[in-house]
Amino acid sequence: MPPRDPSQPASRTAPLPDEEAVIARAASGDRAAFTQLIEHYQSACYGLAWRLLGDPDQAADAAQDAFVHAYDAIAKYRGGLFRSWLLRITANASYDILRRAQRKPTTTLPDAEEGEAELPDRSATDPEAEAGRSELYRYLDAALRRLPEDQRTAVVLCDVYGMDYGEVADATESALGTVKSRIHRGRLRLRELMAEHRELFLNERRLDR
Amino acid sequence: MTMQNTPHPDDELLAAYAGGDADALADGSLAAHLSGCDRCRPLVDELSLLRGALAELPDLAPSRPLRLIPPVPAAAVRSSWLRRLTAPAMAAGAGLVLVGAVGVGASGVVGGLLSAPGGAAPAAQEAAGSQDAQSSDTAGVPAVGLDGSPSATSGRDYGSSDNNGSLEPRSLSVSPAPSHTPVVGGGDGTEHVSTTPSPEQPWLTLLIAGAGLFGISTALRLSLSPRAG
Repeated sequence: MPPRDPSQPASRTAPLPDEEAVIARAASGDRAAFTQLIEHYQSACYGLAWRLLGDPDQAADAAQDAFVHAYDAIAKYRGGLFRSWLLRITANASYDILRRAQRKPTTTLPDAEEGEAELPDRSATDPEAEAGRSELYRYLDAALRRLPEDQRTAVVLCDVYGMDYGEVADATESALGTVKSRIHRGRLRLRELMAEHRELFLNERRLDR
Repeated sequence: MTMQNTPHPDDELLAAYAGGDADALADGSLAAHLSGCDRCRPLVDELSLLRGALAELPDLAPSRPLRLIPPVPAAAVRSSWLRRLTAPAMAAGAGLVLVGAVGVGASGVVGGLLSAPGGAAPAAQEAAGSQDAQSSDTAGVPAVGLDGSPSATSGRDYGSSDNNGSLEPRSLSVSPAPSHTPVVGGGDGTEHVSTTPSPEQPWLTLLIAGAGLFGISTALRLSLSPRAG
């Protein structure tokens, strides 16, 4: 299961309490401080890489590549959300791996396999909201994996990780118009793929309100 | 209230609107259509909810332990060893240069004062100087030389320990007569090191040896250390 931070309703890693100070130490060459930062955000980076690449080993490789790039670049880090900065680097590292793997003729990932992508038994639906949420997350991840690769990349970066059009265009080395079209078509396709389970996120909204 | 006869906007435009696309939001006719269309409004709402759920997808624990920080490069390790090895040599070289320079300067003055005929001091000084030349690369030289001058006292220290008790023989093989001539400055006006034995000569040797040691160790470090960038 992914790490859960009770202060984060979106199940995302929150910033460290003294993050600015840790970043400053890391930027001045303190390896222990850099390790502390990366250890804290490794699940965020791995999650992004896994959603882009769909393969646990490739995702781990991409995350580690990103850590090396971040280590080289942290002296030039100029504020903003560190998580977002690190995720942009992870997106680039993942896309590099994706490009190298594109020699293969597949455009969609294999269906849900071991680990996080495994679908829950629908008959065993837990009445509690938290259980419903995790079921929704697993269906969503499974649906993302069925998107064509270019749409999946664009939707993951934009809708899952909050990047704007320009950041997605940079990460995927694509034109802005192309990126917009991929995101919009991806959302529509995802809605179709989630049609069978739409009550999950519709119910979730009602529970949240 | 419905607008069944109005052509529906392209679904991609609706998806853009659901994601908060600035251009789509600024489209007045689209907003007007959505406010009254039973087909498009629910679609936009559903896409918005879907997008909200995507934005809450959790972080994922790695499938295996990740290497969080790149290993220290081999070049950096080599550099640190290089630093450890060459630093003492560079320091010793610099020390010898300093001692030599002080010695040259001081002996030019003191040597002139103490070179009266028949005095014991010049002999002691020469002995001390010769000892300096012989042992210029020993650790003891800088310590004594740092006292500031080749005084009779410091000269005796050297002589008594290493010169077999004899202050008389001149171990410099250059010339028999002590000279008051300065180290540099020939009659023709050109600068050169005098071949005439002088109180400065051992110190000059020390200075050159120190400069050599410093130069060699510096060159070694520069040639073996990794290139920046």
